[in-house]
Amino acid sequence: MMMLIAGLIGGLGLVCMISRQTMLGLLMGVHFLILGSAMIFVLAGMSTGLRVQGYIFAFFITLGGVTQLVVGYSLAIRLFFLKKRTSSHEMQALKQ
Amino acid sequence: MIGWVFAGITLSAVIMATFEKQIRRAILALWVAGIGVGAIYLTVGAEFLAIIQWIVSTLIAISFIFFSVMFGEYNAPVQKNQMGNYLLTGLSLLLGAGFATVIWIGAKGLSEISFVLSQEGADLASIGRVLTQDHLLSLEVLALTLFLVLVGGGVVARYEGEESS
Repeated sequence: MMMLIAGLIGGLGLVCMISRQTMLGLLMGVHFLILGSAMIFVLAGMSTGLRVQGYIFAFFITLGGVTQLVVGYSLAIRLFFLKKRTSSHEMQALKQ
Repeated sequence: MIGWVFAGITLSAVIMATFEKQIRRAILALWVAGIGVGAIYLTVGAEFLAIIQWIVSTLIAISFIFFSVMFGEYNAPVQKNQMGNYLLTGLSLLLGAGFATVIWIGAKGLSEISFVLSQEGADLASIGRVLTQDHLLSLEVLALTLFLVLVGGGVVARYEGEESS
């Protein structure tokens, strides 16, 4: 049941990524996906008797998520510099 | 029991952050969700992860507030939903439900989680030993990634206006 809650957190992250129309909404969704996936590893580690391995994978996922958010913030700043707004429809401007 | 209370709070906060139109309330809910996940870690005996989760979530919430103010979204008026938005939200809900179902089906073979504290993994020494002995390469890759992201983030977000003479 707890695994279902972790899956729901990740699933709602996907919903947030798709339905919100801004870069910050996209990053918020990524954060929830990371929360859910880290929780899945911790819970799976507990269920299978490999607690420490689960913790370490969650640690890597959390810090990997931080790097993704930093890159996302940088891209959002770039988009704002080019278009003066951060709507996800404008993201093609980043190809320039 | 307390673990389920934290799980309920976390799930409610994630739902609120996903569907709330005002970005400041969504950011507050995002912070509560991160704190809730940390509290779940605490109830299962992962104090190390709980503290990391609380620090990371708080820093992320602060940076979300900073960037939403910078981009003018913090106090922006709420826009009304259009028909296309409802369709997109409906499709994304289907996708999210599919994701949760796949995880649930995949986890059926695992035993149910009990909120009983265990000595295994409770001390930082054992975690540090496993981290440096069994996962040293992953740790190095993570460190290099963090370094490159710092440099790359600065390059991507650099100012390209006319330089003052």
